[in-house]
Amino acid sequence: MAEITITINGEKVVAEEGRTILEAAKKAGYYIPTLCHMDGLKPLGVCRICVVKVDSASGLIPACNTRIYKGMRVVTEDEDILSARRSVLRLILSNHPNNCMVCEKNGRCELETLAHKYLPAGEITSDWGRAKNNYPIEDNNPLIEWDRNKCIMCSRCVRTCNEIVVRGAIGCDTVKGFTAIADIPKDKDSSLADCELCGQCIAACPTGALMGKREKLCGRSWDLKKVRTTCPYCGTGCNIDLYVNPKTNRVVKAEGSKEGPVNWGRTCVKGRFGYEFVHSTERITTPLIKKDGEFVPATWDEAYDLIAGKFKEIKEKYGPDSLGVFACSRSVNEDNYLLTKLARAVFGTNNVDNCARVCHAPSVAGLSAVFGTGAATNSFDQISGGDVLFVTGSNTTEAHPIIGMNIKRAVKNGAKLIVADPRRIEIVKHADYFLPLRPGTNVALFSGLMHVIVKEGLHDKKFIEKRTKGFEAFSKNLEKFTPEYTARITGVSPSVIVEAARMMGEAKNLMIYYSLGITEHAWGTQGVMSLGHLALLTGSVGRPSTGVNVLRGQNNVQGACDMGALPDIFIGYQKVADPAVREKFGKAWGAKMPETVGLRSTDMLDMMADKRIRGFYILGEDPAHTDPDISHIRKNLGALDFLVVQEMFMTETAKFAHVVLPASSFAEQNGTYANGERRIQLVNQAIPPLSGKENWQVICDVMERMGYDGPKYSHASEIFDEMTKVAEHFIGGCTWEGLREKGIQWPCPPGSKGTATMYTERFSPHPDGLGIFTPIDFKEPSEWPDSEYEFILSTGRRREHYNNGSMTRRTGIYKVWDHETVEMNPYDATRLNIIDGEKVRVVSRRGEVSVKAAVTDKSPIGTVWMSFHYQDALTNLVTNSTYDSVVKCPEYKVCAVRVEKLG
Amino acid sequence: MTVFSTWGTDGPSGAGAPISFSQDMPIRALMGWSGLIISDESVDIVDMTREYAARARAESCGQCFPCRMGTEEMAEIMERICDGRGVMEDIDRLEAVAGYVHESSRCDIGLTSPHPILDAIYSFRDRFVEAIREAKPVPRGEYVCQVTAPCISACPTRVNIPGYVEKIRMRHWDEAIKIVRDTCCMPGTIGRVCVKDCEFKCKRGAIDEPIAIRHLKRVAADMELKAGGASVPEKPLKDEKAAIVGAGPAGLSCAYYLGLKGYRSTIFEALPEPGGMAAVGIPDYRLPRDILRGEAAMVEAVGAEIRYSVKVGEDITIPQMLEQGYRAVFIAAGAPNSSAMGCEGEDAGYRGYMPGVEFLRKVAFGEKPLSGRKILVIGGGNVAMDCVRSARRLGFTDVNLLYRRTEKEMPADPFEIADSKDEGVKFHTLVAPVKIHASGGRVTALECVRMILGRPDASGRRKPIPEEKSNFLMDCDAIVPAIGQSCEVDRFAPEGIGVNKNRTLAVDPVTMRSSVPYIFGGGDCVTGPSTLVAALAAGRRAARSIMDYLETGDSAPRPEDWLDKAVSSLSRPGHSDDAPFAVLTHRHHPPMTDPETRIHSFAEVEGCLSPAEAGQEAGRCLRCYRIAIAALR
Repeated sequence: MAEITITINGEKVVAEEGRTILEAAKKAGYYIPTLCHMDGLKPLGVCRICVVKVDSASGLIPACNTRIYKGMRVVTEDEDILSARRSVLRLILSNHPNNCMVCEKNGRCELETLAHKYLPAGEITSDWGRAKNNYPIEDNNPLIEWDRNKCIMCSRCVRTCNEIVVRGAIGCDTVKGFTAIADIPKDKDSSLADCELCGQCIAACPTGALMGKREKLCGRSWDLKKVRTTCPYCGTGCNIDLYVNPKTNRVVKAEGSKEGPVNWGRTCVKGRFGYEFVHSTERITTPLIKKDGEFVPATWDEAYDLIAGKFKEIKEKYGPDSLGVFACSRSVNEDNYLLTKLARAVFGTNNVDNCARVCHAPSVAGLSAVFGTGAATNSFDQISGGDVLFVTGSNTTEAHPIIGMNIKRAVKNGAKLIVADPRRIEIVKHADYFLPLRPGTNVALFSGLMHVIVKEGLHDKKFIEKRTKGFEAFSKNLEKFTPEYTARITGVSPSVIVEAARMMGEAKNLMIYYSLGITEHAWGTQGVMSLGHLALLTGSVGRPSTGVNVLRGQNNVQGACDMGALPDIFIGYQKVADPAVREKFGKAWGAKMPETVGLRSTDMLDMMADKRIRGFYILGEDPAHTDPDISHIRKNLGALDFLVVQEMFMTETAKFAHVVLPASSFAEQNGTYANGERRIQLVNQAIPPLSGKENWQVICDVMERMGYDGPKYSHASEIFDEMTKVAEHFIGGCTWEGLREKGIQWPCPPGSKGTATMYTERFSPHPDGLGIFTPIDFKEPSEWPDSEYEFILSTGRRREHYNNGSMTRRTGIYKVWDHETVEMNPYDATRLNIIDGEKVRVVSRRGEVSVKAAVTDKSPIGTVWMSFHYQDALTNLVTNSTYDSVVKCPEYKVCAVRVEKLG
Repeated sequence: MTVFSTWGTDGPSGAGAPISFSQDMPIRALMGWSGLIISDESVDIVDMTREYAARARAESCGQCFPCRMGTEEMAEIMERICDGRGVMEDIDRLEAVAGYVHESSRCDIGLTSPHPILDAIYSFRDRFVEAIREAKPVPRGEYVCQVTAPCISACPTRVNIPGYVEKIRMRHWDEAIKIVRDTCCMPGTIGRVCVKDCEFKCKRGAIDEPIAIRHLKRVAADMELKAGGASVPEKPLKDEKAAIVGAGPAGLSCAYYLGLKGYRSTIFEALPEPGGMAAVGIPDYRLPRDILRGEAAMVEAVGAEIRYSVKVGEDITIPQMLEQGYRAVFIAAGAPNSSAMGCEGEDAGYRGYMPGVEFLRKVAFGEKPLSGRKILVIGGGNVAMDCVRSARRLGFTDVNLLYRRTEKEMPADPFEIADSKDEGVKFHTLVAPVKIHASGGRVTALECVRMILGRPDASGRRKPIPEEKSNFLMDCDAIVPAIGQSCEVDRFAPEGIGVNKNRTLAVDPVTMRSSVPYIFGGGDCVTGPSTLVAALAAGRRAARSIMDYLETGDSAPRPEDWLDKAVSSLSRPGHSDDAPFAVLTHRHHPPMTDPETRIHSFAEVEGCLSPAEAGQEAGRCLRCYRIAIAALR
């Protein structure tokens, strides 16, 4: 944008053309009051408090929605303007309640602030004789209280809900004129009926009309201490501000951090309301040692002595490879880095893995095979620039709500959306094309789409020629995937395949988003590779707003992999197989590095039964809940000689431990997380650890007790500094302080500012710098319905919960979904004579679980769906532990079950 | 006679435009967006101000703060005064609030409605003081109110354009289409082919480009189709029924609005197809027949019966209709006949010669009435454009349009002209036909004369005059004149009925009633060839009069008709017509099939804006609503 000069209050000011008066004035340091305006929303210009004078107009002009022009002369304040501002404030106050004393917003209320600024003292409380409104307070929403009497009709909540969340739970169109008020949309019968509880309306409200119910009476706003940190839930990596009441040292509220580079103040239900578990009375705060089958509180010393003794004994007797470590995708990078050190330098084994194994290991392998690195290629904020978005195997609006909102908003602003998913998930409502494929047929569908693109000549020939190899054999292999052939496998109509493929082929910027629906299959790595091929084929990688973007499930699953919590790599994807790498780490860590590649977590769990793994350390993971076929897992964990679990809560897995060590929550930690766009961000301590120790301190203590003489750290940042030194090519350019504002997207070698878009020049991790096409055939899932088990069971996540639910089940959100259900199509339900809400039994070859039926056409006929968040209904008793052929990721998304009526 | 006016001024002078209403208009005083006009001094200005303030409050949409709260405040103060509870400070407060609302509001409701209120206070302050001093309730007068906008006033159907545009912005498609149907029952049709007078009056056009009002209507109609079509409200059926001659836009519109109120009707249609000229005059590439059929089906669903291929006058006469129990007749027979060119040889029956109306009708029924390589079409209106573009699609490779004035004077829509040119039509202007040359009964050439433009004629356009000795020949395989249409109502209307000189039916312009009490008329057979939207409006107006007639035996103008007429005569001068500070925007243009492809078929050329684009386009609306009330005699 060109810069132009305007005059504000007599001073020449340079501003970008196309900016509004408000923006230009703000930049130049002039204050203009606002009420209906909010950053991130389109300016509406209704409150008229931001009026200014402009030379060429006779009246008063709103500053928020008037663009500047060259030579414009603006006056931001004079007697006329002040008079207009006073007028509007008087009119607003004429029916606004005066009970600020008992209003939660007191001290932060924008109306209150402006009234005090512009009105004479006597006028603030005097009214113009009009009766105040007397709306009942709406409180049937589980988390949000709505007092419409305090509403000033700025419509910020409405616009937030419609423009940012694209949900439309609040409207303001039911009445007009003076009685107009933010309201539920027409045809909804109860307040906030469609609400997804993201809480952004609360953040948008300038007054106290919308308030969080559970935040009431937790301290006055000016007393609270604000700590910016990173959300501990999904891999989006939103920044949130935790508010701590210093008197009680409790976290009393969370809000989206306005400066957060991923979310810019936006939140989902978990980020906004999911902090309460921190103060759950069920937190484990002292070490526990199992004696006669019962856990008994112990001192740290007792626990450490026992742990060190047992692990040393096993190591000496059975060799280092009989030990293993399960690192934590939910804890900070620093913890994971230390755990790899624990495994490699102290235990002397490469048996270290993290739960990416059971979710995104195929992404790491698949994307590495095609592009060279196993991570998302682009940034989340580039979504707005994509003209065609392809979302597949991702229930984005539930599992990654902020990304889902961004996608919905892009579509609202004109982008096209193609969704391929077996279920009619929420985002399908916004899609131009919906490809409802049979579960487990991803590779066939993607091949079919690419067949059409190649056949119609829509592929990017220049890109393919210059930057890829292997296209010829690859395109030959595509030949058989005609739309008709593909349709027979996938169940998607040939014409839809053709039209969707054309839309992708003709896209300027095709952005691909996928998640576990692609990876958690026996043919998962191949599915990921196919998406990589699709990007290469259309030249949609290496530029902003393109690429293959994997949505990581857990807050730091990217980081756990980055840190080398994998059996074959060190931090920064340095290969264990490389002697030079081993030597480097041997020197850095002061111990000889084990040579053989270690075991994957799924293998380690299998090998417990036959005693090839005897001692195990788990930080914050819960395989006895989240891994497939858990009867099998339970048997294996039970066979261990010695199990240490470091946990916040008594999870299914912790129950098997010999020693449980308390873990600290995100609010008690310093450290870093890496989100799904490779952004390393700070986690800042808001309250001291409840157990007295942060996780890294505990891990260091264990290492020390085992005789390791490592560096002594006084703060997590010192661990981070060490990391930047041993992985210089990867994060050598990062400093702890440098992460504070916006984090850094790796790779960030020394001198770099991080990488928002990867592969702009070459696919550098490949020696020749080329993207690789590999012919892939379709393979059926390993378990398919038959006469005995007639349904496909697919599993996934709900917006309100997270993983094993140990955190979310201990917050106010729990009420929203407090029990597991099995979703099934009305056709199937009718056939089996099952009604909505009825308790049924879901049975597979491996186990069974009793849950309520939810009859919905979200599920296609023949497919049922469950989440896995509930400890009282363990879905994974039923799922199949067949593994992905390449990386051993389990096939959570397809197994055969039958549904039985109870009683 | 106007005794006092502030219209168009910004002060209390009373020296506003001396607008007077004609004798037959029973208007005593009018308060509107640009001032106050009084014809009868005895009108109670205080009570009228109360009424105006109440109307302003009712119309405030509630979005911008000054208008939402200010109109409430003004209405409340006036109510207090008129209830006898006023205090002297109220006048100053009213003035202050009105002044604030006037200067700070966002759209014309807030910007303009304080205007007459302030005028009333300035000019008649003593009467307000008196009312407060007396402290007695002020007797309530009777008023009519109209809420309009420049676009609304420009549209014959008076469809609430800012209303449906706003619903589209909010993506409430069902509500948008409902607003359109309230006054205009064929949104899919009119959304494709309207001449869109509204867009020429759109205030946005003065800033950058007018809103795509027509196209937005089409988007709403398409969205409704996508959602599974319209639903028909249940209503009790009445006994009386009406006969309608012609299932064109006027006839369908009349039947629709009769049906909405429970009156059944039967439409007698000469063609085997609904839509009249819209069906057989507008080619499918502009208006797909399915759309028209769908909207006719909607009319049937609300309670009309359409009898096809029935020629009124031959198969059934109007007296026979009465015998069959129809109590009123609406004549909407259109103007289906071609006007003559006054050119030698046009009556000779040569092959290769065919009037435009006939040509389009045959094309509409799937025939290929003319063939060859080179065709000449004479005329500069939309029918001529339809003829050249259809000819292009029939395989003529050398398509020529002849017009006797210049392109500037062509009555056709500029977009149509541009689209024709894109399709390769050659334009020859300042050319008039003189004689058709033929050989073996088949046209071979057209002799033409060059024209020059003289002084403006009655239509305001410069009159073309033949240039001497400029005759020349144009070879051709076919000639299609498209210079006008006519009708012959007297062919089947009862004897003695009032008929105009050009054989159109004479009716009252407000009630649409003819000289025979039970016969009403509307559309092209009344106005001569006119627009589709005018026919829709006429049909609806006739429906209202027919219902009056069926219920009371008479039909007369209503008070709001007088106000409508008065409002139409008021232009709106003043500063707020220019809006230099609105953000400059660009109109969204719907996708069009490229000319290379489209000339090979009659498939629809214009695509539909996506919902997102439509929402953005709708967001450009400035909502130039304004309010007028009148005190009647």
